[in-house]
Amino acid sequence: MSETLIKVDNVSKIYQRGGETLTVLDGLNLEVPKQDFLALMGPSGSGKSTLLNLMGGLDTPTSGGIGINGVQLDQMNSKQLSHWRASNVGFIFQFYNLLPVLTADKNVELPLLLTNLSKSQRKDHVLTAMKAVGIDDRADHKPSELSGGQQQRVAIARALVSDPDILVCDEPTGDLDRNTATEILELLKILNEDHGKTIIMVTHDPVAAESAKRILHLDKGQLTD
Amino acid sequence: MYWTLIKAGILRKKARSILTVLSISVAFLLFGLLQAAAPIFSGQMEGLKADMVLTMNRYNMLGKLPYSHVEFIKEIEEVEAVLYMDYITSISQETMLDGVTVAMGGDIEIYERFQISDEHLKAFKDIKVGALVGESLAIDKNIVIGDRVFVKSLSMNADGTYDWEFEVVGLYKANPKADELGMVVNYDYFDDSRTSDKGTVGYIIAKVSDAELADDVSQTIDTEFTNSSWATRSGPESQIAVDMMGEFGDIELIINAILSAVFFTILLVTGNTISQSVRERTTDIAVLKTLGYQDIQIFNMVLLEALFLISFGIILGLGLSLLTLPAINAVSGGLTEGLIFLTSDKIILALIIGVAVSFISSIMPAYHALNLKVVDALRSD
Repeated sequence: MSETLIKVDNVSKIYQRGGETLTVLDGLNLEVPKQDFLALMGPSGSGKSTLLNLMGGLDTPTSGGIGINGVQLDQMNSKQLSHWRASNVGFIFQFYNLLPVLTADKNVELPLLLTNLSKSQRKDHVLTAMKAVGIDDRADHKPSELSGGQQQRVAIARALVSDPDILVCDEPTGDLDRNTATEILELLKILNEDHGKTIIMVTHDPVAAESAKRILHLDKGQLTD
Repeated sequence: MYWTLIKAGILRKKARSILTVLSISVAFLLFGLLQAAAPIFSGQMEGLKADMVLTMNRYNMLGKLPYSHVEFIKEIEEVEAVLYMDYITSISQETMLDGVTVAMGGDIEIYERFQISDEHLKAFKDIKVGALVGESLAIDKNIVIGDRVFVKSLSMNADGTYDWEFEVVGLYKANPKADELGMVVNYDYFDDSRTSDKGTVGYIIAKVSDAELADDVSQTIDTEFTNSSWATRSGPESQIAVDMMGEFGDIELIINAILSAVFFTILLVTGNTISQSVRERTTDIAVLKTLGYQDIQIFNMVLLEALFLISFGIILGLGLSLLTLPAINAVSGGLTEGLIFLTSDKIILALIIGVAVSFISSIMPAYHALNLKVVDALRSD
């Protein structure tokens, strides 16, 4: 595989809950090369979502370092992480998390409102992203007017629209039926193989995990593979 | 950027947003109408002058003063001109006119609240039974120049009757328009002909050379007659009306207390709306943060959302009050013109109050949104 994109170096994440100390990740080391499609599996509480959040720049480790493309996320403040996320990471959630009063195209446009692109440029980017996931014919529909699979496609388009290197997926097929889940997973494979996106996916579903190039298992905050 | 986010927030629960805006608009409609009427209650009416000193009976607003007081006031160095008047008490059911009849003498020209053409004023001065009728009254009673008008008064005429007849020689316009519901007759004729209260006047108005001197002139007059049985109360016209209204009670304080209670309620309503809205959108806010929206941008979004709701309410409420005032004026036949009005400083005050209310009501929910941890919010979903 190609050069390392993500380097997780001896990362620990510890929470204080009341008087109790909870170690979610314990000295974890991991390297993710560019254009990898990695599936993270493990029981509830194993730390996979925590690891996903750390690699997506949504949280910072208690100790250790996370480097992405030479940038150390663990040394960034909240504002810097926000700025970094906007152009480097796209998020895909289990429940889509679209804004209900905005149409599909307006939802996809949300990341671009942070840029200096003109209205027409934003419109072009949105259309490109929606065409890439096959949902351009539903641009003016609100989420309530779309099926689960269609909503997830809109969410994927939103994740893609600012052309990030990394897609972070938290149970992307968890709320979909088998057929729709297969379509979404095929789409993710296309984004990985044809568009060069590095994808990290958390899933409970072994069938979904088989779409990935690599599967890693976590248990009690450590990789067991 | 913010407009898309504000729209998403406000349209999430349309009914709630509409009801909130309506509540706010009612508050500002009330504000607009009360502030427009406040000048009446406080005596701060348009057309009252600072360089005109009004003198009346100290102990009875409707009491009399001897004509000698007019003579004294004329001799004061700073006084340029003097007008004196007496109300003719009429028995309205038996009078042709429903309006107020005032006998005026002296320098009528200084009374700028009445606009009288030179021609009509000359005719009035030349004809002792001449009368000037207010335009509104003339229109209402179909009175034209040349008409004979009758007043049945409590003052007996020299002919032994209580009937007074005048000839309309001119019309006058007035500010406020309510003053046009009256008639002006010659004091000299009235005083010569009446059999009681001869040589007395009701009010004396003196024009001073400099408004700054009005207080001093007022004091000079009152001091002169302090120990007299005809003691006076004098003051600049613009101030004395305020002082007199103040004796009924601090109406302005009452109005402000009512409005404060209303705006406090609006603060709670808006605060509740925004708080609910932010609580319901915890996941949306978390998702925006994952997309790269900064904490401060989310904070601003919540503040702007409240500001938008308040602004819409202000525009609707004040707009309705501005439309209502001319309607009130039209229904009153134009008589409230100059009496009720909304000044630009009150509109600015409304905007300042609106900004303050929107900020206070939204600061806590905005702070909550600012500090929302993405990871915790998405986990709780």
